[in-house]
Amino acid sequence: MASLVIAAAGLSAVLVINSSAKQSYSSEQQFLIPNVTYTIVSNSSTLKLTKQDYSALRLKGFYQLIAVAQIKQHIYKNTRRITQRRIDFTGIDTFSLLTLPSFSSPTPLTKQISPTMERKAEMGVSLDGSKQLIQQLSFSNPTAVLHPQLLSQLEDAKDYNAGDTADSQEVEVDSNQDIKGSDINVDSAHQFTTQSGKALAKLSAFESPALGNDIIMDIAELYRIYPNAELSMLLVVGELTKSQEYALRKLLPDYLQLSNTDAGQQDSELTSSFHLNLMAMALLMFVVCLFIVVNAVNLLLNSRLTWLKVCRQLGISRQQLFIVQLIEIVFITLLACLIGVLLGVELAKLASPAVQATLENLYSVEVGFGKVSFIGLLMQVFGICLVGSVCATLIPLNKLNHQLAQSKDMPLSVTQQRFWNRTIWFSFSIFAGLAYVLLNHAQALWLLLIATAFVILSGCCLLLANYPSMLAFIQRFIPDRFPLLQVSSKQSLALSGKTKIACCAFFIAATSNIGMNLMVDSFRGATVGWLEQRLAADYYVYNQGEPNIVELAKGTGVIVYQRLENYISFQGKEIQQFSYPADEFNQQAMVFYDKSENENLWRQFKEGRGVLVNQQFAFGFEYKVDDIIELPHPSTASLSSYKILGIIYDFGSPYAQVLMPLDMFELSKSKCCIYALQGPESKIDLLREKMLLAGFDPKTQLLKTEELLALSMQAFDDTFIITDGLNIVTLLVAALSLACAIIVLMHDTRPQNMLIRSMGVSAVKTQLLALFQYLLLCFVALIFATPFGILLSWILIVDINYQAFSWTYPLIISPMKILQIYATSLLVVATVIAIPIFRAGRRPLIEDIRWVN
Amino acid sequence: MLALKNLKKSYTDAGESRSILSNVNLTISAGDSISIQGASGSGKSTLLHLLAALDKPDSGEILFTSVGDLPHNKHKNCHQPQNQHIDITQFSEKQADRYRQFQVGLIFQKFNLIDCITVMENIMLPAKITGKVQDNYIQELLDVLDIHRHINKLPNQLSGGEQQRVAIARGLSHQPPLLLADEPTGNLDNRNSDLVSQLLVDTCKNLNTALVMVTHSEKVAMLTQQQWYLDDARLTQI
Repeated sequence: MASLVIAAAGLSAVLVINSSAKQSYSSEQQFLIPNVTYTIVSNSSTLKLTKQDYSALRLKGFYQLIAVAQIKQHIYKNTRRITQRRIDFTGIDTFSLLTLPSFSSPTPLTKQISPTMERKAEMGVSLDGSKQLIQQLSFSNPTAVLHPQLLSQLEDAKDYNAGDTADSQEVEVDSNQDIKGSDINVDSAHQFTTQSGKALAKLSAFESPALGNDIIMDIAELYRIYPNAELSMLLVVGELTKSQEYALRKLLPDYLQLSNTDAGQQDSELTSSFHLNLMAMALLMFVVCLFIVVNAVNLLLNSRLTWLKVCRQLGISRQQLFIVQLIEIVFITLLACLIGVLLGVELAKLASPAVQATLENLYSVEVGFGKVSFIGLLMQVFGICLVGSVCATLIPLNKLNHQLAQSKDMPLSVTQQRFWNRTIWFSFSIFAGLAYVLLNHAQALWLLLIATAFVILSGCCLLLANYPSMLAFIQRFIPDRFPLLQVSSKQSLALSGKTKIACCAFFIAATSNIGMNLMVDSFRGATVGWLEQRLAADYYVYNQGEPNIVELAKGTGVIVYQRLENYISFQGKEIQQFSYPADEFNQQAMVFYDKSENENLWRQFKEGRGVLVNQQFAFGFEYKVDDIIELPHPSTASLSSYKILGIIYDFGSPYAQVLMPLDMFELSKSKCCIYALQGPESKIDLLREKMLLAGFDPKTQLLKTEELLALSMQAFDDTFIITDGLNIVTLLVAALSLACAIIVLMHDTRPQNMLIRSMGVSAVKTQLLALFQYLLLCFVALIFATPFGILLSWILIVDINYQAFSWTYPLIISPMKILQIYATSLLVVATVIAIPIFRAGRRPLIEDIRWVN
Repeated sequence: MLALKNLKKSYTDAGESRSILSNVNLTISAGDSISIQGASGSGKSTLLHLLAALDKPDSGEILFTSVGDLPHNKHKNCHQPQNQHIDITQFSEKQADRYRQFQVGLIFQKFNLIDCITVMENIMLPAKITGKVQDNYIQELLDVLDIHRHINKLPNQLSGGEQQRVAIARGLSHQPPLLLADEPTGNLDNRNSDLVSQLLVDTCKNLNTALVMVTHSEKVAMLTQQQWYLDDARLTQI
């Protein structure tokens, strides 16, 4: 029962987190306003949407345009920062919105509901709720709304500057308020401020999945607290006629773009990598759940096997027994699922801040708080658990056919053994063959994932086929003076036959652990090497907009390389045009994945005849070195042909990027955000002083290369926390299923343990021998998992990374890392399985003797 | 070698105390063969468990006198000079383990052989654990018990009688001065029962090993030097 509750809780927690992430992701563009049919945004990196644009369009009669401004900032309390990550402050022009006839009179609006609106309504954007909300935001009654969970997080937040606990910063909350239970109007006190000390408007909780990490307020209120906030978009509320749309498009300046929200729906689809991660988490938990359920139910029914045999001998049919057992199991599963789902939802709430932060680091996805249907969740979890339960109910009943007249398991006959071996080798050939074909010919990501599954399954077959020979080989090295170890190692072989599922689960966990760790290790090595070479300058400045650092650096003696960037459309996708200085120093700093044999590479680059592209560009658009591409000139925008001179590493960037020489760019037409500085410390100090006078914060914006490298690697390590988490989870699952198998096998091993103890072997020694048996099985599984882990890592780097992220890097096989995984895996397994083993060992010997005889 | 003095043992069954052994007195000398008969639930196995230091009596003593080069006890609490009486009812768990390892051989009704190792490995296990492997002695055991041809087989390839003969060999392989057999022929047919019990008694006699055998069979009991009967918690010699 406890195992079933754990499985249901784990599965529902992951489902809730996944559901929240998906809902937040797809509602990124929503502002709780129904009937938004178009959006207007700036498509230029330099020219922004301004208040003047907004007022000009409204003056032309487009009153259904509603301005939205956004800024990402931390929240403070008593001058101390209380948020771990920045919060999205969004301001909406509520005055204009409330004056819209379509918004003030719900009747005509409901008639206008479009498919888009229906979708939004499904996601919790109901008209009545929105109207109520917007009225609440109204400038005359300044209030800011946020998700109840974000509100409670803010109230419970720790002080990230000083480490003070929330207890020391009391929050006055009306005792009548029930944040979680109500949809709207739960007020919080005025204790939160901006960095400059301006108090935030009254905060109200509002339950909606569209509210993620956002605080929504009236635009005037946003400008009061953040005067520098920029207009991010204009929303068109209500349908536009064809002529209105045409007129609006004509009125818009070049840098503003009108987009249909239906078309934008595609953009809000999950990216493949994000989707992959959610799918992996759900699949992993699904497998976990099935393993635990199968083991738990198997355990329950095995303990009744004697009773079931008696029933069979009394003439009760297998069908009758199956139905009776199944009904009981269904009830137990339902009860466990009810408790598990309740626990899982709470678990998801507890885990959500860490998951949100990791997913945001990984995929730049704003993950909020999803609205979860308890019944729906219960049905999903119950369905999955039921599959496991039914399978597990069938297994012991099937045994009854063979064991009706036998008191214990009989070993397989030679013919049966031969058949089993042939089946295993045949399965291995099939899985390996399918994996080979898919890996060599499949292009789609999902097919590659299936190929990976086949590789792992073929490994399982190979392990099962070779367990006897491997264990026999290991036994040769156990000296005669350790007779108990020799016996234990032989018992391991017998156990391996009875713990096939658990051994395979451990093999899968170990393989994925080795594969993922080697991949991350290789990625880390590649990233460090790449960063150390690319970050060749002494200092870097990250600054968007004015003033230009080149101007500031004049007279200081500091050499400044500015990196200008443009965003252009290439084959229907947005790509980055980036400037790169081509002097000797920066030539040395470039890290190539592949480059032209041409000796005049840099000369051609300098002359603007060729470009360098990152892996994302080359793999995404399927270009090779020496291919010719047509690109707009960064300053003149005229199309020209360029030769691809080299493909460079550019880890972490979601953009396909083309590097062109700096002199092809014009500062007025491009954006500059990174400056590489070179010069002695005294000259850098001079620049630092100038930056301070110009309003910069050199502490955060002027970064020494070593600091930047450390920061980058910190971000890298943070990004892979979730991978480490999943690795530990898989190991724990494997250990748990092994522990379940051990509990089931306790009945079988009890006579032999009793016998050894009756020979005067101490209880502790017997327990250690049992531990040795299972660890030996795990060790053999680890030996087999090593080549498969390396193969998995290679597939992840060469195929999966290529398809999902469009980059790849060399595989580094670190023996130390593999040994570390061996140690961790055996430690995790030993810790988990020690519990049932030592519990059994504490039983007095006399009890075992009475039980056996 | 063993002297049981005023041994008492009772169990609480459904809240009611039931006396199993009451003032049991018995002396066992080296090479003696003793059978204990009695009805089911009379306490025969309990008495055997007390002799093996698997269980503790409510009161009374079981004085053990070591013989020959035994015991080589590593535990400091067990440093007893040879040929001196040791009360095994006062043993700690470690001492009881050492006592069973070196002084006692056990044979069960269900042969309890380890399935995954060969007959020879099963037989050699106690000898290897105690470090007292004497090839000549083992060969003699195999000859006496006539299991030479089975040594490379797995236990499940043997018949019940053959398995029990292997169990006897295992119980004696480490040359214990005392062999305790709990209904060793209970799972065997009459022919095998006669054969195995005769072998058991003869082997113990040849090796000068004291034998205490619990049995339901009068025929088997008659093979031993002394026949005792346990009834109403009292042990009486027939």
